[in-house]
Amino acid sequence: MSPAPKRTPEILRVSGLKTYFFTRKGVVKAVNDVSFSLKRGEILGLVGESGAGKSITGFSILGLIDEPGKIVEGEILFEGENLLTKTERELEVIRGNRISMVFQDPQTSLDPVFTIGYQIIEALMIHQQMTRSKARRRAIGLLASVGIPSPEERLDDYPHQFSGGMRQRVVISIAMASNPALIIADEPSTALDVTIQAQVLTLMQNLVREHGTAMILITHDIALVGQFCDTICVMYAGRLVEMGPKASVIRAPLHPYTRGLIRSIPGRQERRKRLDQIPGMMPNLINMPEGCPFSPRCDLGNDSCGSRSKLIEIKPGHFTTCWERKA
Amino acid sequence: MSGSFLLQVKGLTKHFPIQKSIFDKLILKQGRVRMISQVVKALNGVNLAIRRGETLGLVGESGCGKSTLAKTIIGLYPPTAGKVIYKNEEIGNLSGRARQPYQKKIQMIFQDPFSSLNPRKKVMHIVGQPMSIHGIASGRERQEKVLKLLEKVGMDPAYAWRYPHQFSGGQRQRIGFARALACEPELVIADEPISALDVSIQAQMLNLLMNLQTEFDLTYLFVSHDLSVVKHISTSVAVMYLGFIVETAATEDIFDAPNHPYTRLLFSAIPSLDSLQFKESVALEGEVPTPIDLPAGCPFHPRCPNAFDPCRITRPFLNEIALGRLSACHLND
Amino acid sequence: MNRQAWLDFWEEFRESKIGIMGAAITLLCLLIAVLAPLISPQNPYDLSQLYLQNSHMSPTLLSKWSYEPFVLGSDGQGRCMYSAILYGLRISLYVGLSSTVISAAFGTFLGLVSGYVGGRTDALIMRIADIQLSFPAILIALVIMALWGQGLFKIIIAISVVNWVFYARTARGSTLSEREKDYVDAARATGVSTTVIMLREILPNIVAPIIVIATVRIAHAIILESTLSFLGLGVPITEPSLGSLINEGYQVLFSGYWWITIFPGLGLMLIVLGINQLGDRLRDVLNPRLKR
Repeated sequence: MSPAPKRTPEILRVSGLKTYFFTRKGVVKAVNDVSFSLKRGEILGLVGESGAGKSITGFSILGLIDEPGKIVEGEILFEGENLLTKTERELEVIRGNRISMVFQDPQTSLDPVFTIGYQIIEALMIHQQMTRSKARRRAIGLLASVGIPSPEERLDDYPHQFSGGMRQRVVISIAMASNPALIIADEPSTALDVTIQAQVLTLMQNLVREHGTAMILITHDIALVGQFCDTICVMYAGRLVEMGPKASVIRAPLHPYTRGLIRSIPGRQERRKRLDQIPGMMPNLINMPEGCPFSPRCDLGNDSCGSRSKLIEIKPGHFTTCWERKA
Repeated sequence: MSGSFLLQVKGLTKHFPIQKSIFDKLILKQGRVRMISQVVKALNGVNLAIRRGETLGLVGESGCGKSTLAKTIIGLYPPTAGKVIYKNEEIGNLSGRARQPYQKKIQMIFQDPFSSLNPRKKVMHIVGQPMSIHGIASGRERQEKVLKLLEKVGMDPAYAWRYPHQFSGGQRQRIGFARALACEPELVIADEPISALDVSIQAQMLNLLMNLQTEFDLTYLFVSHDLSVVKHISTSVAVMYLGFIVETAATEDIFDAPNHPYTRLLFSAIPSLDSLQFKESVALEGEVPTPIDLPAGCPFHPRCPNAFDPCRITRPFLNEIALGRLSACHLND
Repeated sequence: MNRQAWLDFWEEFRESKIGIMGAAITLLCLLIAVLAPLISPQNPYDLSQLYLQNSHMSPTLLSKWSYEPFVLGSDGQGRCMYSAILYGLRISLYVGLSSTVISAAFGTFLGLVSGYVGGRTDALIMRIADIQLSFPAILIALVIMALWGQGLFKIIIAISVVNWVFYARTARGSTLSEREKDYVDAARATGVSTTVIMLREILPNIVAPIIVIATVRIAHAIILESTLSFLGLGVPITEPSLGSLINEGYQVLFSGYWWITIFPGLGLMLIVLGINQLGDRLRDVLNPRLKR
């Protein structure tokens, strides 16, 4: 069993994480020197587009990286212990118990051949060593806490009898079942309708506030992190380019990518007029050069952008890798 | 914005029968065995009108029928009832040869950049195919036209001899735009044209769409679930729910003061960067019912915070509540 | 497709030694089949070259006498086993390939129509396929050959009739999923006719799994032909295939003339093994690409 969790406010510290994929065509540096930390009860938004590396960061924390991927460097301190030095057995005790994950697609994260009651009760019995009857009572309580009506009857229903939003609630209830210290939510609402998305995220926000759980919300939607998170980390092509408190990052972004992203979202300019677009395309992630990955598309910058990529603190708590901002 | 109506849709209904075995269709009701036939009521008496030069934004969540509406207008589905009228000609039930002249005029841009282009055909063929079918150009002339079109959508003409899988999502959508423009259409139906693309290039693509509209004098029916995009690009907006149009208005009007309760729910559920606090939306309870078992009366009443008796019994009509504004809600009566 | 795709394919294919071995064997057999008349010491079909007094002579290396003309022995008709096997391989491959091509073409076309058009046509074609599948392949081929008589052409047709179903079902499945894709909608919306959509838009996209199946089923076809010949219902006795040679040898096996059965058997085994490994490997290499 793992030792009792330390009561420090900081629950997760990722330092210099590098997860690379070694493919036939070359090396994909999916996560390239990423560092951040998380306190108890804090909601961190990890924002980026496809290929940014945000999902891989989440998987790396849980040790779910398979061939041809490999965590080549870094340290992940969870409750004071380095997860990268743990064996698979030890990680299995932590997964689903101290750290839970909520995935994007509610269709596939629940096993379609078992009732949801079975799935919740099984999780409870494994991680909390409960008796079946106690687990069943707790399962009903969990379903009620995520707002599923008539939980006692619905315990015996199969996943396909629930709508997408309901399924996601069930997944959240399983994630919360063991009262984890950290929840990693990977695009939890992307597959849902907008009105249901609001419901599900409000629910998650309330739950984590109530239990003091920390949460990493992985998404491509910057408006979403603006509404639900406390801190924002912006990733681009494997690098963490900006990190800071939500209001600071959105109102006064420091990195040109963040700035461009926020400016290009329709709704902030006059209607029917040209939007501020970010030129160019996402880079090819195979065998990417060193330095700032955004430089080909950046309007600022000079030749030295090709070699710099360390996070520097510009304002208290607000970091960026862009050196142009230093001035 | 004034102009004659390019496209009108009147009472358009589209129901899809659900394929079930004979045994599933039999139910026991009131002591007797009856046969039920279930249908997916995708469109239920839709009324719309688009003026020349306009951009009508069609919004709604999944299951509301907006994609079905787009596909029925363009002729991929024959309507179950109702009319599709293009410049005063009824085209809803035309097919084959009779439909050809209208296929030139109305074209479609699809959502998924990965399945909307035939992976085994080169770009030249994909963009040139509509031209050859409609006899617009052939041989050398057609090649020239395709290359010019590729330039117009921001692609290097040298790419014409490559295959779709060699391009990124954004580039594939550009090819899709070029294909839609090949026949010089008047009306372009864009079915979620940028939803599947990375956020950082959505702005580029929207700008491109707006430029193309000016350059080619196009009218757009822009289907999307992304309200901020619709707000930016549309001149007027129509909101759909469960196969019904619940509200239409000019863009400023509807965003300043949404009338229908569903519109208000929808608009409030969208996170925006303007306020960083989540505002409790109007009605956060309830699930979207299925288009198979439509509620009686107003389709939204199970979720509506303001529902009262008439809502459960009578279906509200789209009534004009102000100049150019239509809304289907009993509260307005 | 394009050069890069072929190179990538070859790179990946190369990785498995077994696949390479399978490909090598298949290639060897193909060469033999083509060059048989040139490399065999005797034409086993030419009755004038056969002398009954040469019958049942054992293979050279094993014989008691110092001089034996037949490297692998001779059969009851005085045929050189080596030549007979070379020609037999030729027949096996000819039958295997041509029946596969015919049933693949026929089956794919039916599957395509069935999947795209749907409705009653689909139901009809699939019901026929189901009925046919409920009979063992051998039985159907047997009945056809028993009623029709022996002959190379007839056996090719019989095997094609047995096998079309597999291609039809695969083609139908692929067509059903392609049909839902946007590019088909785009073609329909532009006014492309149904026939053209089926043949020029969808067909190129469903060919890949068909090729994979076909490669594997060539081996089945070869075995089916051998079985029929073994039972005496395949090729005529004057133009023996591997199966009929095995049959002939089987009857005299316990008299001590083992080479008449064993060598053709080994040859059959070799070609089936080669094609199967090649097909397996092809399937593995092509499959992830299909998903891309």
